[in-house]
Amino acid sequence: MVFSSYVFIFAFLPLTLLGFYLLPRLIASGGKLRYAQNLLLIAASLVFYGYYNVYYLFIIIVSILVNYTLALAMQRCSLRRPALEKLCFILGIAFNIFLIGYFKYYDFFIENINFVFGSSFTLKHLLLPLGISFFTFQQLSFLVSVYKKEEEVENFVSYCIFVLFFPQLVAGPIVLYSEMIPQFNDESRSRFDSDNMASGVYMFCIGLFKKAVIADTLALFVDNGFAQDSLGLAAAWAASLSYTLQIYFDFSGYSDMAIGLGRMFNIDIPYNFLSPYKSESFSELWRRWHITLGRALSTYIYIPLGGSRRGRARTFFNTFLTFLVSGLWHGAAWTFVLWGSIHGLFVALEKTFPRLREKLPRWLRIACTFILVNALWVLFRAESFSQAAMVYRGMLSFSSLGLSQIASLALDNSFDFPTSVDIAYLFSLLAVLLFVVFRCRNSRQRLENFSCTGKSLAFCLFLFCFSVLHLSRESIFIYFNF
Amino acid sequence: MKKNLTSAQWLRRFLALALAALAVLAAIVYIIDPYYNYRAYDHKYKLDKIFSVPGVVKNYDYDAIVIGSSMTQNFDMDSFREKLGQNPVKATLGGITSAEISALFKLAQESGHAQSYYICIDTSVLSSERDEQRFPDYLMDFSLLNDYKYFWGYEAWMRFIPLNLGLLAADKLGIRLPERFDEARSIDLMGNWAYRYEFSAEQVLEVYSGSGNGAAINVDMTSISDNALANCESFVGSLDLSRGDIVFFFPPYSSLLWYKMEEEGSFDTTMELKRRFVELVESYDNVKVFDFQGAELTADLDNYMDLSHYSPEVNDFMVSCFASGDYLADTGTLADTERQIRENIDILLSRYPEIEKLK
Repeated sequence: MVFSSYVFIFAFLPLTLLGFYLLPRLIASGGKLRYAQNLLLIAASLVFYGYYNVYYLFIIIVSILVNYTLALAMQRCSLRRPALEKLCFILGIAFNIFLIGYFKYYDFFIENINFVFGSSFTLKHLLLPLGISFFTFQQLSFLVSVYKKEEEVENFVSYCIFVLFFPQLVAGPIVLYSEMIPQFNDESRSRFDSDNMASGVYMFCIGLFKKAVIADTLALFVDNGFAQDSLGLAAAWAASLSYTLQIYFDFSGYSDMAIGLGRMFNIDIPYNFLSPYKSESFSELWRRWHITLGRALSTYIYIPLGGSRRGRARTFFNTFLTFLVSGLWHGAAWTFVLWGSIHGLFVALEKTFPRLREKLPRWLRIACTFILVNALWVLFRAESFSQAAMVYRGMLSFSSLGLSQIASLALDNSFDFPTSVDIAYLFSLLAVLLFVVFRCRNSRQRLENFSCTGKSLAFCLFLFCFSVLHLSRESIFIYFNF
Repeated sequence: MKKNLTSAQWLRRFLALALAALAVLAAIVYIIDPYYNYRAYDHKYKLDKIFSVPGVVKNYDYDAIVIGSSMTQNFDMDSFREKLGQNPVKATLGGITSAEISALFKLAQESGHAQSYYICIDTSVLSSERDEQRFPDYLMDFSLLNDYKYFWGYEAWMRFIPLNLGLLAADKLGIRLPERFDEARSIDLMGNWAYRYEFSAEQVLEVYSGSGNGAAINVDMTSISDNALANCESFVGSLDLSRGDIVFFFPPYSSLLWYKMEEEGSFDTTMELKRRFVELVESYDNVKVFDFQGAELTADLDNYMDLSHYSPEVNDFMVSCFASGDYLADTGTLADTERQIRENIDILLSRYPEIEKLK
């Protein structure tokens, strides 16, 4: 199920909220109430996850059972049988790597084997279970924390709600056991809190608008643009900028909705975005973009590799490797690996030569970072290197402006508007969105400044109603594929 | 900013106003009804191949309905009125699939308007793997329960309502719009594409040689799915043939298409499929089959704009046959038609010897 759908907004969410806040009327305060609420959220999350494909449920349930059993075994063996504890840990890591490797990387691996050795092993074309990268990563991080004695395994229900909580199940934010479970056990969070509900609704509406209205409108330009055989200068830049904006509004919209939904259930979910395109450098970008992934990669890859404590060369290597893994985490294709590697290279260079960019004025640093990030998103979006090369050729074809091609980007098969209208529409939309990205307050600032006024009510109503009018073109979130 | 509401008040107002706003939006769509989902008028709104057809089938006043692909989109409805004395409507979609024919036929039956059904059976309908249904589900029934996708739908609100209100305003203000705006609102002309193309042997041969100007309507008519026979049987099984006067017809593709099928090895399978289809439907007394595929005109490429799409004159010829009974078919006539198709291919090749060089 996706947040930006009629069924979620008008059926699933109201029913789940109703059930959640009716429980305190049925069950007296105490541990049982919170337990029952968590059970209800688990049941709702399973419905949410299995809505489109029941087969997904089987995979996630097996993943939870195996990880929980191993974590529990590790904890019980930790004092008396450290060797067994280590074995369980290794088994856990292997299981998760196998799970994600099988579903996500099997075909990639076989394709490369076939390419290198000229063999013809059959590809499986497996259906990628929704959000497998997210829930596998989250559970891996939990196993590591238990092994390092940073976390303690509680009961099975707590573990299930940690993995399954539907607002962040499919595309994050990637949360830590220690920041979520105390909240799920906190009885003071069991009753309806109108402050939380109002701010949650507000944040959800902002995210819904970002996704349903903005990102899905941009998706048309992107899909049409990347499907062309060749692009002129204007169309190539329009397509790449559209994707840069689409992926931001899509993913940050999802994260805003997750945070808003969390608040509706009195749960604080960490922020995942902080105006990333306002960054002056790649290092800053990754502190503002998909913040919880950066946190996890830093904790579980960069720091264990030695971080920045072992000299410049090692810092360079550690940074590069962390981003290479990040690229591979995003997708099983060399385009993703290259995308991650180049990001890693830029971050590593910034760390190695920190004074280099300081000579540039701030606005130029932001512009340079944005243009480079925009160019790299082409690699991320492209289905192949040749498709990326096609877009890059267009972005550099200064001899042909190709304005008329803009019409093919805006083509949606329902109306055939004059080219001039398409050009005006597309560029004015991009201009407005760039203004929003660079000049307006971000969702976090809006949420922190939220107050229950007529103005915020009108704003929220507009966002909600206008978004609802866009739900019929329901589409999944880009990050559902990762 | 001054806090002038409590959060509980803010929430209550949000809920009440959001529900009220959604109710108002739904009422506006119900009243304007840009897809004719509740009532249909001629020359009112711009018609759309996907969104308007179901509403027209449900709500327009007609007693005969033509269902089919681009092969049926140039039928002149006046021709049906004059030659058959019927009050017809077209329910067509380019590259229509068996699932779409089945759904439109069912909808027309449920609407209770039609006495007569004219259903075009393309070989691709019988042979293709494609089984998509492009008409939105919420328009393909009479239930209000799923119409929320219409009331609060992107296409209705962001596309059709603004455009149609603009057209209505132009009418009210007496602004004369280009003729194509009026044609786009004519139910008789719904889907008509003939005005956009040239019908000539030269054009067809250009398309065949691959050096054409791209004007061809690109439909794969020669590939045969491995499951074609089962698809064909399942398609017939999906139709309730017990009600109404039902006419199935095989459209007159050019002999060049049949020649191509022979060259590519799909000719015999296509004939088998036709035979199976006729076997399945001919037992019904209220069902007739017309097979125009052996008609002489198929060897004259001046009647076509590509290998399969013919001129409106050919559509008129078919309507005349519906009235006269010429080209009625059954399992007994199929062999003759097949022989005629092969003879027409010979005529074609002698008339256009360059075809064999263009292979």
